[in-house]
Amino acid sequence: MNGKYVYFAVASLLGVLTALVSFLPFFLLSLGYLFCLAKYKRFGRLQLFTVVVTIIAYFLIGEWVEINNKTVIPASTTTFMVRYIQDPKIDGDLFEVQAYDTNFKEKLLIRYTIKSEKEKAALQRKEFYQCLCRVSGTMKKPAIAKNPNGFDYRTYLRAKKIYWIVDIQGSPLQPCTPMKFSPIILIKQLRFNGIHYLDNHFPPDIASLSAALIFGDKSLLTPDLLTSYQKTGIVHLLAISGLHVSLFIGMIFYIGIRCGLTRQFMTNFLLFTLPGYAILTGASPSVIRSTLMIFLVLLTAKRKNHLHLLPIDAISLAILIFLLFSPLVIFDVGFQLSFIVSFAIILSAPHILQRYQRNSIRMLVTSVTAQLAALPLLLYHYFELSLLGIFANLVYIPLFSFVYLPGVYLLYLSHILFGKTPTLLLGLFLKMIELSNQLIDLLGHFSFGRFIPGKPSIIMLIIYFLLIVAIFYIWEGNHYTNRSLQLLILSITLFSFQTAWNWLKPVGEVTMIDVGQGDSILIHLPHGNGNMLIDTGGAVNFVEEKWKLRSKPFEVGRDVVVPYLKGKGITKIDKLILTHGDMDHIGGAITILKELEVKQILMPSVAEPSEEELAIIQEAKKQGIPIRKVSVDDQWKSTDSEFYILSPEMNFTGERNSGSIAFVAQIGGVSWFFGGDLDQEGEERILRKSPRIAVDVLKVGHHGSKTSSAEAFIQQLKPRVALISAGENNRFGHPHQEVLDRLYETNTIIYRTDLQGAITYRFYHGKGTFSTYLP
Amino acid sequence: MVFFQQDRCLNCHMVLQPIIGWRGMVSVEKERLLCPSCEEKLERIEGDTCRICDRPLSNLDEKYHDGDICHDCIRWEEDPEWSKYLDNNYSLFLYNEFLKELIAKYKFRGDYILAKIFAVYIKEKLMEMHPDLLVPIPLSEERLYERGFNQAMALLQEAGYPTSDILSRIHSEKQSKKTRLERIHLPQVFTINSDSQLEGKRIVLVDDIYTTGSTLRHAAKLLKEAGAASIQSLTIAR
Repeated sequence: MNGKYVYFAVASLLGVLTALVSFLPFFLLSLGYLFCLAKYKRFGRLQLFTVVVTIIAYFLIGEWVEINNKTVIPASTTTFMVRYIQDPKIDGDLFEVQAYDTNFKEKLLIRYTIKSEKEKAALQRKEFYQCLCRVSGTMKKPAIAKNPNGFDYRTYLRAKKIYWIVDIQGSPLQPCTPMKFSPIILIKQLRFNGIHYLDNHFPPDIASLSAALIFGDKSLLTPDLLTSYQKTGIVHLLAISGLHVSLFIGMIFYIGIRCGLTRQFMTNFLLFTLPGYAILTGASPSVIRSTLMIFLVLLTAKRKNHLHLLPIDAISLAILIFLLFSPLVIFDVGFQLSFIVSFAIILSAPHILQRYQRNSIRMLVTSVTAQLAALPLLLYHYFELSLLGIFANLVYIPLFSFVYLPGVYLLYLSHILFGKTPTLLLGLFLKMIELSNQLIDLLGHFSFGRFIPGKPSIIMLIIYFLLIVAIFYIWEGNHYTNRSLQLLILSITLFSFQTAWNWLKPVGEVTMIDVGQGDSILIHLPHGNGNMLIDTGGAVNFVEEKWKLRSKPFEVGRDVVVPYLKGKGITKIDKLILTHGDMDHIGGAITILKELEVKQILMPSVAEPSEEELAIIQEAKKQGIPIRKVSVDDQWKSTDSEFYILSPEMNFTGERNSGSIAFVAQIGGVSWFFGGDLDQEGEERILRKSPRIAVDVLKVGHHGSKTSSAEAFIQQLKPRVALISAGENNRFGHPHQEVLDRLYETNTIIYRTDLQGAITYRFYHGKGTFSTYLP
Repeated sequence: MVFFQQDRCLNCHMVLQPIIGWRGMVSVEKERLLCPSCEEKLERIEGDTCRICDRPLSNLDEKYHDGDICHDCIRWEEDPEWSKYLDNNYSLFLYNEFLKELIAKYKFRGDYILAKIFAVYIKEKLMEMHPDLLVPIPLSEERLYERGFNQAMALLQEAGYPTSDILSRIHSEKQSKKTRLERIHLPQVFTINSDSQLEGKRIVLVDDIYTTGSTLRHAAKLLKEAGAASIQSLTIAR
């Protein structure tokens, strides 16, 4: 059975995927898999039968979970008896915690708006376990994605079996009754107190790093630092990983033996404490995977005269056990990355890694292996990949493994035992973390070496997987004379085929991205003929007291527009058109300038730019991006597309909306009118100048406000299609009924982002169709 | 566990550890017969060898060979009685201590299954040679009774090739007990079975070991005289 468990792990995965993702493709894949086992892997009848049973069993488990993955709580419920199952997340005035409703036996996400700074401090100190609380509030469904490639919170929570967010009015801890004690609660409390101990007794840099490395809690790290870790591709070091667990277990084992305990005792001790250790470190999928693997290895090592468990068998058994208990975990990014990377390293270890004798080279090769294996998944989930990551890992893996990890334990233990830490050691450590954080920050802002080909489709994913397996296959081979050449060709293909396809694809699009209350429209012309972005969306921030501020407030540019563009593999904007200086149109511009390559910015020629516009002008100057102030009669052309500016007049002095850039364009075989927030006055000016103007598609002015879209203007334009970008239930009541009525009168088809999500016009050779993201 | 047959090395009986790696994962799983450490001890004959007898020339002193032909073969070829009968010989492995032991176990101690180990290589080589007829060197009846099987024939059978029952042995004294001279000057030890059609055939003789080449040359002489177009030979060891 040695080395064979992997075939059963694959079978279990196929079974779960058939049940949870898509029946027919994975069913066919399963049949193909059985065929291959019989034909190429010398599987006999009994063995094949067992594989079939495995697939069916896991399929049924998956189906069972799928059928039961729905809420049982009636939508009208207002009072809930809950116990809290997680450390709460407190960010600004937002309090959020997962809870378990004891009546309905279902998980809930509880949200609460903290009323005062004093209450916030009290909640931060509080333990939330071991009590049963009665809370009341209103239930609402988690938000769904409204843009392609957008984050779907509802699906995300559903995979965690949470279907409702409850906004509670009163404090989450009143009234509560104490609950029975259980060891799991004890460990959770230990974790909570341990993290708070760190937070209270150490400088923030050390506390945050220690909390991540000792307890697997990243919440103390500043969001900016975390982003830099992510961008450099070393964020996995902050998660408790296999490397980490094995180092830690190794440390404990060694200390035990040095203290005169027997190997057998230490093995038993570790077997007994490992499950607790998994909970203590947050029980994330990567923690569970690594503790499970070590557990299995230790367990088989106990059995005398039996072969010890091969790593490949340990990881395969870990998958089998994991999926048996929670098949939904296949949707967890951490689970996917943790397993695929470990699997690749295990497969590479005996031959590829063995070949490189020098430690530094071997580490580089391991790092490359990990990055290669994670590549398709990283692109699928994050749309980008840092090639710098390979080298960042080379520096940071040893730093974390041999300095930070023992270091944080040493500092923590000495503080607990002696009540303080040696100042010199603390200072040295602090300086080191400071320096390494600065380096990460620097690397994170380095745009070189970032690979952004867009979100791969299923076919693309398959191509990626095949290419990567081929690379490993050839890399492993011994007798190739031109191996380097083949590897080079495969690698170039790996990093270029998707970009090449993006360029070759003869389809262009105009998309009104759903940015809530605001505007952002992408015009993408095929074959590299240009990308234009009209406005960037942006949220209006109100001045708040400091304690109420979120550490990383929602920002449309960063959270919606940039992911949308990166998901399409768009990294270059030829023209960024900022129609006017309002926050809801240009609030995301700074992020766009920082994240993407902008060739030129178009702004209206107005006498008094707004504060936001000035900030953008400054950032553009810093980056050397030319700004063109446009006014009426300016125009430009691209292959098959024309753009002609109708407003504002040069050096416009007047109300800001009235001075919006308005232009007509010919794109994809139809004519368009884009006018930002242009008001009725501005519309009249345009009608006076071009009385015979008519278009096919109208971007309705000012989110459908009645201050725009005058009856005469609509009647003259006679658009066949109208696009309205407005926030869901926005406080201005946009779009106004009057405007909708005027559009009905001209028999115009109306598309609205607030109801339908992103709206896309996709065209091919001068013909196209509209589609909406939500049905 | 009995559920999956635990494969063991045919020679040392150690459990075969699975091959972990990308190739092992993706490629067709083959039946494995020897463990890596035993397999390592089989030394393939590679590089420059004697044109006729396939003896490796790399570790042979200059004075024992003339260009690409060894002095043994020169002596055979200079003797008009033996010249030009055996066109050339191919051997798979060096007759080292390990192989000596392995072959002894195979033919003298009757471990028939070991034929499988060599069959793979025999098959590979025969694919290149395209013979019309395959002739295993026969044993005398007495010897066959003693051993239970003909080691050369078993190799061909395991490799999945048909054998031609053309030769029979008349003399039964063991070869390995004789010196080179005795062997060379032996009277013919084989006879051709009467109804064989050999005219123009390309024949490959198969035996376990090539030592002096006298057995093979005896058989070659007989077959060539009976009209065979060419005679090559293939042995496991050299």
